[in-house]
Amino acid sequence: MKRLAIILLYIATAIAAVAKPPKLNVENIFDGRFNNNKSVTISIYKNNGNYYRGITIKDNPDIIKKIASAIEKDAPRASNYCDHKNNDGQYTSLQIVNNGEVIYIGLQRDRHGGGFFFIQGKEKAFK
Amino acid sequence: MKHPENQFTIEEVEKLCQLYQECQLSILEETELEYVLMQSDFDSPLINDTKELMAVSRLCKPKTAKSRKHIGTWAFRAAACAAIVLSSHAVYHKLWHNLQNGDCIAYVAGEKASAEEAHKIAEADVAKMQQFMQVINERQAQEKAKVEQFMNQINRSK
Repeated sequence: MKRLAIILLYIATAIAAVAKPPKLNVENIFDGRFNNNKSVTISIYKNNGNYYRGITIKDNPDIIKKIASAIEKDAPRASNYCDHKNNDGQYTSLQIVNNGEVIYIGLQRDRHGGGFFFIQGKEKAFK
Repeated sequence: MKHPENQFTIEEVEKLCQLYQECQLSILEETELEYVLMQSDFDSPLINDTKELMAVSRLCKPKTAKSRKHIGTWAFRAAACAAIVLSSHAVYHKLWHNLQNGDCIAYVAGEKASAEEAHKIAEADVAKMQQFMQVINERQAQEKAKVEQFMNQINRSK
């Protein structure tokens, strides 16, 4: 039984070493918690090996705050980070590499408690 | 059971060892002799040689049918484990990436949108994302140009 458990663990580790999902904090935004929220529009789209998830928020600073917090948690893993303010609002961008592919994450905050947030990358990056 | 030293004399054991070395014993007799040598303290050059020979022969013995069956059982169990882990891995990914190529899901104001509407929303969102990326790229290009200008000024002043 002990040997069986060791073999199982060994195989699981080997698979995990080959490819692992990024487990980003920002991915939790799309776990279904906001699907029934009246102030958001969510879209999930898969096409030609690209995987896109986006959420548009209208007048709901709490959700914006949660997304910004998730981005801050993932920021240390980013190979490229950019935070920029202009007349349209604030732009925060992250690029995280996983399985050799780049995951693009962006949050655009307007001045009225709304915004637009997305995660996009090749499917391989999320596996 | 009597102790081997009480059953055999050293001469008898040496005789058996001699027969062992001449390959005159059956497998059963060889096993019995091995047991006798393990249990007894008989000591002679012939007995010691036989003990060494037995150790070497044990190392060189081909796998028995039982041990082959044992290995086979473990190989089967390992293969079964691999199959379970791989299939659960596949199921996990199937559930997580349940969208097919070109599929869209959208929720608008708390309600699931129709496929057609979902496509339109997704396309509009992708366009918004591209616009976002353009703003970021322009911003980064501006920053890069500023840094280059700054470095050029420093180099000129040197």
